[in-house]
Amino acid sequence: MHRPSDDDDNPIDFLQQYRPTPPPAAPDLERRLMDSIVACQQPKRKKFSSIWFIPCTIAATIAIAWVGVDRNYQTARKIDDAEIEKVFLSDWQEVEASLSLPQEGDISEANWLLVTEENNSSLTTNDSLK
Amino acid sequence: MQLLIEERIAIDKLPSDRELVLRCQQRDSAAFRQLYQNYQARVRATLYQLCGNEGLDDLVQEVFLKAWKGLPKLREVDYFSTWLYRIAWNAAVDRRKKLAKNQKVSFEEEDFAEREDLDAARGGDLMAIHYRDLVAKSLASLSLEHRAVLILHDLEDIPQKEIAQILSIPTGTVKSRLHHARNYVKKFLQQQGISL
Repeated sequence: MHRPSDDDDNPIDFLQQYRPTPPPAAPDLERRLMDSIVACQQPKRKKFSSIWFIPCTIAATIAIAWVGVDRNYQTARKIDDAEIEKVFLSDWQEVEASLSLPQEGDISEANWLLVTEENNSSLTTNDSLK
Repeated sequence: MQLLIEERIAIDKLPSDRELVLRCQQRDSAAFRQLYQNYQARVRATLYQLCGNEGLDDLVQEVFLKAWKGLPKLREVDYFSTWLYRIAWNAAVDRRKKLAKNQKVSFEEEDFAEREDLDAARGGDLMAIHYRDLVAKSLASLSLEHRAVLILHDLEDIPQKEIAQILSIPTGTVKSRLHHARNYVKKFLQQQGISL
C-alpha cells in the first residue's frame, strides 16, 4: 500500500468499501474495439484533397502548354527546313544562272554591240567631264 | 488440490504485460485483446469516477484505441500501465471539457439519479446505497485534479510517483492534493453524519 500514515487515513476504508462502481460494459464493447483495431490496420485510401486541386491544375496546364508548344515548334521546324531548302535551291539556281558566263558559241553580235555602246557612252561622259 | 495446481500452472503460463506489449508493437491484435481484458475493468472504473456514466463505453473504447495506435511508439515497455492511465486521464479531461461546453447541468448531478436507479436495480441494502451515494457525491464535489489523485491513489492503489507521471505534476503536488482531498472528503462525510 502507498498511503502515508497520517490522520487523514480515516476515509480511505470507507471510500474503498462504498466506492462508486461502474455499470457493466456493453456485451459487444470488446468486439467493437477489436473491429476498430482491424479497421485501423487496413491501409487507408487517401482522399484527394481539394488543397491539391489548384497546384495540380496549374501543373497540368503548364505541362499541356509546354508539350503543345514543343510539338508546334517541331512541326514548324520540319516545314521550315523543307521550304528553306526549296527556296535555297531555287535561289541558287537563279544565282548560278545569272553568274554563268556566256559560252563561246553564244557570243552574238548584239552582245558585242551592247558592250561597245556602254564603252562609248562612258567615254563620252569622260570627255564631257574634261 | 490437483485443480488448484493446474490453475496455478495456467496462471504462470499467462504472458506478462511486457510480452503482450512487445507483441502488440508487432501489431498482434490477439495480444492486445489480452491486454484489454487485463486492464479494462480498472480503466473503466477510473473513467467512471472521473466522468460519470454518460458515454462511458465509448470513452473506454477511445482510450484503448488510442493505446493501440500509440503502442508502436512506446519506448518504456515496463511503464505500460502508467502510460495507459495517462491516456485515460487525457481522454477524461477532454470529455469533461466537451461536456462542460455542451451541457448546462453538471454531469455529476445527472449521474447521481442514474446511480441511484442503478443501485436500486441491483437490489443493494438501503444503507449501502446511501453510503455509495454519499461517496459519489463527495468525489463529485471535489475538483477534477483532486479527485483524480484520490481515485488513483486510494481506490486504484497507484503509487504517488506513478500518479505524478500520469498527471504530469511533481510528486509534492500529488502529496498535497491527496492530503487536501482526503480532508475534504472526511469533512464532507462527517457533515453527512458519518463517523470516521
